[in-house]
Amino acid sequence: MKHLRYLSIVLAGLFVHVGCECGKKATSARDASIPKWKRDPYYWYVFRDSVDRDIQHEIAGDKPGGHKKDWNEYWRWRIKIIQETADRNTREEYIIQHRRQVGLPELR
Amino acid sequence: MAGYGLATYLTEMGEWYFPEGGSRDFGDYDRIGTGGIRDTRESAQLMANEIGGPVLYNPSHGPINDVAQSFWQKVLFGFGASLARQFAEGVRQLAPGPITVYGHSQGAITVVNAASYVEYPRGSTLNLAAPPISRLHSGLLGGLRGLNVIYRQNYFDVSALYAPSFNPLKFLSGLPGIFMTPYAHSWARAYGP
Repeated sequence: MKHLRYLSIVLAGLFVHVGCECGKKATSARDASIPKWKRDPYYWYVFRDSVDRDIQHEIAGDKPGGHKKDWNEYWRWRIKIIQETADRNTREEYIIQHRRQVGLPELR
Repeated sequence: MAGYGLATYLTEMGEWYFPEGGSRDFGDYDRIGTGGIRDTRESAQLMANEIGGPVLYNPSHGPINDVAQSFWQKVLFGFGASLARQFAEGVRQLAPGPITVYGHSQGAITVVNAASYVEYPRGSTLNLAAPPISRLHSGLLGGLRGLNVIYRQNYFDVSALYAPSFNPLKFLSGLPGIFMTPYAHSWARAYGP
């Protein structure tokens, strides 16, 4: 009985939490068309994963993707196309800092 | 509902989205992705921008019909699946060499089913988040084809009910996950082990 009461409190708390999350104001008109739950966490994860892989490619001397002529142009492009995301500054910093940590040249 | 799900399973075609300002030639990319239920064109475009590669938009017909479609994806293992075939066609055109494949939720089933239509290059990575497909199924695929499989199914993710693991606690945690969906489903796919 005690456990059931505890479980119901946890579930009630989760409902409240979900309600709070859904009620947050969207950060841009474009973001507003995408449900909150589909926006930040997953995209942040895949962004970091793809950037980490790109940094490894750059270190290995591979050609950049997206038909870009060099890595500087590539990274400038990646930074440009995330400008409409909610955490664009965090993303941009992620690219800059992680490239810097492995000794890659600064972006021009 | 099941009939509608079967019809979309057999016939539905998605749309490809490329990163804004990037090439529209698959051969210029070494990564690809697809989303899950309740996908929107906006979220497909955003995902393409985030991964820096093409993403197959999976048209939504509401959560119930989408789940019905995913049911057929699971039980028929992709046999005759139009989305899996279309995704495989995109994979086939990517740059030569190992690739990275991102699939979330229903998209993870599409990614695994697409292996029936295309051979993922050895050494490729399948990044499956909140997958409604079992670790055993995806692990067998990875083992047999020489692929790295990143399998991210967390506690309290409702997909644990749909793709039972060998861990009974994780399976049971999917029950409260029903009430946490869709938030937990999203959270789980981001902060997996």
